[in-house]
Amino acid sequence: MIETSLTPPKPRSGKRIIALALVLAAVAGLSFYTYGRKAAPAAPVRMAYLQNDLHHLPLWVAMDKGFYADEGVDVKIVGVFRSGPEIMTAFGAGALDAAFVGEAPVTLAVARGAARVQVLAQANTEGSALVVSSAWVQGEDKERTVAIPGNGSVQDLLLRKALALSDLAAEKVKTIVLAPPDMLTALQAGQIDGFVAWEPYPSRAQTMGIGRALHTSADIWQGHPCCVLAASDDFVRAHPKEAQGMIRAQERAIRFIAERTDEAVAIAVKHTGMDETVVRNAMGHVTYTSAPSIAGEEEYVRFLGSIGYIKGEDPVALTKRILGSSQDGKAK
Amino acid sequence: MMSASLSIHALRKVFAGLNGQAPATILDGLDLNVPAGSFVSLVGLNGSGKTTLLRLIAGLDAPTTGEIRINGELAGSGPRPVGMVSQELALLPWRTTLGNVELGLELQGMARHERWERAMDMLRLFGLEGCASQYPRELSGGMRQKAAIARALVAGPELLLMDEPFSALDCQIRSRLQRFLVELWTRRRDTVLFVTHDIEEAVILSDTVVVISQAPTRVLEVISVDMPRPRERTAVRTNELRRRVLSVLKSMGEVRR
Amino acid sequence: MNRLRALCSIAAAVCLWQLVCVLGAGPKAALISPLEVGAALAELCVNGMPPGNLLPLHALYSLGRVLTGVLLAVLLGGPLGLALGASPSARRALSPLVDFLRPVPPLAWIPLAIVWFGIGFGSAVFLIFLGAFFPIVLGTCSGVRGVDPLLVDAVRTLGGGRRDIWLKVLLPGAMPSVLTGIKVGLGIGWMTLVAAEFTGVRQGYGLGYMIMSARDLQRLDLVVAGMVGIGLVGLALECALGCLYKHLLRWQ
Repeated sequence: MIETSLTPPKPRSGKRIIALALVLAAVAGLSFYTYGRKAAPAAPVRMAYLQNDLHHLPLWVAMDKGFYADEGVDVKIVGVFRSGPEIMTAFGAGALDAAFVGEAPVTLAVARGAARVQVLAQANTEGSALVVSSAWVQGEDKERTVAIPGNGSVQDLLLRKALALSDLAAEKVKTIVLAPPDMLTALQAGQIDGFVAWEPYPSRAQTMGIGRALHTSADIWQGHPCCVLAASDDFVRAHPKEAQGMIRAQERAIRFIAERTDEAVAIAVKHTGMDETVVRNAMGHVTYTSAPSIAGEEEYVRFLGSIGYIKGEDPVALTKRILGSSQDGKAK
Repeated sequence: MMSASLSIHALRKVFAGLNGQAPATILDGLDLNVPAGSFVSLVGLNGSGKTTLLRLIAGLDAPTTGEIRINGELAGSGPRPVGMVSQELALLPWRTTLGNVELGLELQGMARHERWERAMDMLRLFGLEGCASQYPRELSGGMRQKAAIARALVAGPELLLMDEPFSALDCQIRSRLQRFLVELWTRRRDTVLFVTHDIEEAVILSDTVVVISQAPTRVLEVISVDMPRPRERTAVRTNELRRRVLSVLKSMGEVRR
Repeated sequence: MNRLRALCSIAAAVCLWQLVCVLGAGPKAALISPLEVGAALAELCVNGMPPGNLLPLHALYSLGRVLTGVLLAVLLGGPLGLALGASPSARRALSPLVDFLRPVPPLAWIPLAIVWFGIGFGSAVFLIFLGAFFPIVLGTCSGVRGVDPLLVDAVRTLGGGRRDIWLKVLLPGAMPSVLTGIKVGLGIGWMTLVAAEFTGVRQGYGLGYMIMSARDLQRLDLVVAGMVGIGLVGLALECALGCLYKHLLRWQ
């Protein structure tokens, strides 16, 4: 027997859409809820750093020489990133407890409320340079293109300060944002006239014979802060002892780099895969120190405010928030 | 309007076998004579090489052996200026009815204004002037076939080849188009070679009905239709002729009961 | 009626999204509410990101790159597609190469692009070209192959030569498939935009560059607003193409 319905079925697409939307919203809400809960850090400290960034040598030294283990802290590398902002996003997602990263991304993230982190200790100051191509003749009436790693980065500020120096005041300079590895290729191909980047890129440019350092960052802004050891607020609150242990390990690593430089160079070569000459040369321009620079950071915060990248907050208060526990007793 | 005579002698067409199959002989020594200005039907069942034959006459394919003569002269290789109307729609869908009908004139290099005139005349003749600027998808099946015939005729071809042009249409439209074709032909007297599997259609339309076999195809019988036009489907003579054709097909084992 | 329904369901989704944000069911940084996105869009139009570079100009520069890349893909891919469609031996010879290159994502070409074309416009256009090229070639090829042979025969019997067959049958017949290929190519080219602008943006303008700057400055709200902007421009492109196609293909 074949049954036929005499009336066509009523269209229920409207109800279906609403039901589907509710289900989707419920699923999304649930996943965000579990995701955003404060994850109690598992025993190892989840650490990250930037690929091939010589400024992060203290981390590699502390790991290889067991300084963290001596303090009873189990540090595990969970990520090697290509840029500071990526690390800040990872912090914001609760995926990191600590990281070696530029102070610039940290400042921006804390100012925006994108991540709740603080600086435990400095990693280095200085260690960048303004590199120009061999064809750069000062005083020539030409528009130049100089690459920086990112808008609002320390290198951005360094370039602006450099252009205020007497020998560059007359230059017409346009900036372009490039990742540092691409800067070398671009300089070699003559597509940019110069760049500002962190070591080892300036040293590499010189070794490759494609450019020379017109000014080191020490010339431009003596003692300017660069990279830091940062940790999430939650981690510091929950594990103050381990945080202190990491600060002490940092100080040991920095002493090690100063006193046993050859071994430090070997560790750097191992972690970056770069040529020893380049590494040695680069390290010569980096000042490794664990003492944070309050004045330097304040100036940086003011700079960011002046170009409109961060708004509102009092620079002194913001600096205090960022430098957090590192300021206790060690500030310069 | 030119109308040519067509004569075919010992035409053979063998297709090479694909993938190791044996070659297929589609036409096997076919002889056919179509006098100028006459309407000749080819009747055969499916599987007789009707389409192949028409393609050879049109020059779209080349015969393996045999002769095709148009107006007594051996036809050269390559496509010839014949009008062709086939079962499936061959109107260019992206051209309007007028655009399709004037296509032949366009290909001959006729000037735009003149070919517009000629094409519109043809459309008027066919009663299609109302849909001159419509696209084929907007036309009914019957109107589309009319347009196809108009397109085939507009450039004044020597022959008109029609390959089951009405078989895809429903029977009311089919009768109307058959009547239309008869009227048109009576006025113009083109040479028409009309292929069909519908015996009645052949008897209604043509001067001569040529019955052909299935592949390898040859001519079975040539039957002359000596009735004045227009012809009645129900007339006695029509039925007689129809039965005669049927019996030819049956006697050669063409029709299985 | 259908459009009204679509608008209603979009509005409902947006309201639900806002509700979820208000209830705070997640870490603050992760959920940007519709209101924040709206405010961010306004900020992008008035203040810009980086400050001083406004959204409409970013969109214009990006459009320029994408349209150039897609145009190149049409100019180079169209004839290649026609040749492949018309010639079985060409297809046999070149198909393996095409099938080999097609799955490589434009992102992977970035280092080569910079070496070959330098930073800026050239390499960005090259990456977008790569994204648009293959759909256009494939669409054109299948369009030509799909033309009913009966139509070609019809033109031959009417006295048409090779040129006539190409101009009056193959090209118009292939057009629906070609246009679809272009539409897909444009869509992929637009999606490749952000990756393409990684190669460096000289003039400081581009939607991808805008988003990356916002990311560098930890302005997730601007990032999402930028994504919305990209989506809207992409939608406008689709609509514009759709209107054009409706006219070109009115015979269908």
